[in-house]
Amino acid sequence: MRQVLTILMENEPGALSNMIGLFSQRALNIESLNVVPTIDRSLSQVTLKTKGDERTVRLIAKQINRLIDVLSVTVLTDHPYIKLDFKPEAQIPEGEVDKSEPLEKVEGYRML
Amino acid sequence: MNRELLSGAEMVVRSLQDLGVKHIFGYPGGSVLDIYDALFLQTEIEHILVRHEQAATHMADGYARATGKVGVVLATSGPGVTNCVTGIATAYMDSIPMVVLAGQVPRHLIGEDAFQETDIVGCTRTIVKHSYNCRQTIDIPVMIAKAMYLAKTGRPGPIVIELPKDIVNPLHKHPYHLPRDITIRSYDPRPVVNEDQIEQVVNKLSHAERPVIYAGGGVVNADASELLTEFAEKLNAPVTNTLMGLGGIPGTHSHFVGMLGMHGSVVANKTMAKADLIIALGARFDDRVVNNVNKFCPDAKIIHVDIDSTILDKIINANIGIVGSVDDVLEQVIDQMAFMKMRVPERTSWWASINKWREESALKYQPSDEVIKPQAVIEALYKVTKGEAYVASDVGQHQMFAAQYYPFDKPRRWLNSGGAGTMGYGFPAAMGAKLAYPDAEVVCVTGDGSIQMNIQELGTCLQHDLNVKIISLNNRSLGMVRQWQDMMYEKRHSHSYMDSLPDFVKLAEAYEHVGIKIEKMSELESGLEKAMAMKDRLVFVDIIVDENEHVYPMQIKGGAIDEMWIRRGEKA
Repeated sequence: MRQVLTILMENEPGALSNMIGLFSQRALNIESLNVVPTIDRSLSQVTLKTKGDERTVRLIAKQINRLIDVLSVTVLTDHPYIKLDFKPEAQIPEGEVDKSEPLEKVEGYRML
Repeated sequence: MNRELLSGAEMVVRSLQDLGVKHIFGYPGGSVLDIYDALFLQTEIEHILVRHEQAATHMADGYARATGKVGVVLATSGPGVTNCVTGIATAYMDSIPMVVLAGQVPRHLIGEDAFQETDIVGCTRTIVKHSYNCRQTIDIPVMIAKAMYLAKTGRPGPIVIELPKDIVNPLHKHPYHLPRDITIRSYDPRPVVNEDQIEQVVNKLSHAERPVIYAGGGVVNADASELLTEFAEKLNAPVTNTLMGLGGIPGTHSHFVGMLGMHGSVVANKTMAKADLIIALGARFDDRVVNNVNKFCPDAKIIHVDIDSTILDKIINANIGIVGSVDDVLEQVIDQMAFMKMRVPERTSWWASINKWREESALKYQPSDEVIKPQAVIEALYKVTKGEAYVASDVGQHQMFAAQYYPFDKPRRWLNSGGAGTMGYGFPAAMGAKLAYPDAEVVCVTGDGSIQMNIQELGTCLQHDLNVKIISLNNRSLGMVRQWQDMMYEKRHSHSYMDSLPDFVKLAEAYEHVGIKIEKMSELESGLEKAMAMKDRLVFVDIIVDENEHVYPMQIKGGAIDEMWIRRGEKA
């Protein structure tokens, strides 16, 4: 089952390695990984997608939370969430363009 | 404020002094020479020079288990710290507080495959509680303070600090500041216990007819053995200990039913299997306890208390899972039991069943006058030391015999590598305990296989006057391996024999220690008494025991917790 985790951690060298090791130890692949500093530059926000059985991913999530450099872990699939798939497409619109639908989606995302 | 100017090397030593460290275990080498020079110029900290760095970690570990303090290790870069890896893993598996100060090549050489360079933080990533790559001199005191704090709080564990050589350069002085109060925003060392859960627990307790307390190393780590004993008495419930928890309740207490698990007592395992409520305290439902998870105690509700939330629901799901230190939880539960005026029943039929199992299946072996049975050695040791000794054990049959036949009345007396199962652990661990308690009787129960994994430490004992007693159950083979080969490989003893053993008596004598060989049952007790009487000498007691003996009881693979062999070919 595909799972998405978000992790708030100290922006320290080694913090990411400690976390990633918990996946590779169990031969789980990470399908996507995004690390960005937050407004507080001493912290990083990680968004991570992986595929594994629920029990294993839950245990990993707890073990990530136990790492000294980690402040919080959320398994996104536990909560109501909006999944946005961005598909970059080059389209040259004809006539007047209706931007309302994409804008609505973006607004909905911002309100979370 | 004017701060004292110190070099990095001086900061390492001063920080340790200011944090109350009295002993460190280590071995010098290129990258830590500056630190060793700073150590030479002071007298507050005693350094124990080992013969191999693995032994330094086990000594620090034994010291930590016996005292509850943090064991500190100092090793040079490259092979120095890679030699520590086994000891770090051993401490990690058993939640033992330890700080390893690891030398490293100068910063500008890191990553260039410099001489004696190893990425030790990378090597130990999965076997430490946390680690620090120190990269600036002024960070040294804060990192050491944090490491000491992390090692001993919460669920204890080993911490590695990597110190590149150029940051400890004695020529470069920087202001020294050791922070007194450490807080780490992402770390909660003592989770607040949820009060509603305490009430739920007491409700469960008052409805239980056949409760059992399953107590592990967490009780020892939290120094909660008195609370545990009080709780067991107030609840009028039997207590079983894990291998790590022995001594958590006095081994001679009437409520104690013995160790549980693979080589636990039949009565402990049966009590678990038939219970309607299991109260797990600082224990983790290890595979060597549970046996087949799917057959685990079907009738029992489970209350699970652990300071580490990742332990809860990891192997066995709990009905009530409480995150908290065992001592905090027990205190509140005992208070709540009083507050709610919980009525504790006699549990006549529950105790009757337990006592029946006790009688039917007491630990027993076939005594002999012809050969020395290993169990008889432990019984004699218990008698001679009056059950008061610190017993460090290696890994194998002798470890299980010691756990079964030496009841510990106090916590922190039993030092063994439970989770990692590290052969070679026992002797240096005993040395660590002896260093902490020079007047106490400290014995190392070992075998001819295990002792040879760190036998070089006989030299360290001579140098530092560590007069432990080595009780070697010599069966000329790797007994536990051989037992499995007997049981599961049609007695094909593939490499489980120890051909060409040294003469251990002469070996001990070569290091100016005393060696005694015991070959007859009639000499056993008097030989042990003679050894113990030599208070100021290390005595190596080489005891020739029956090589065909097996450890029983033993859980049957794939079975329920109480499905056991009680002797060759006979099931419980």
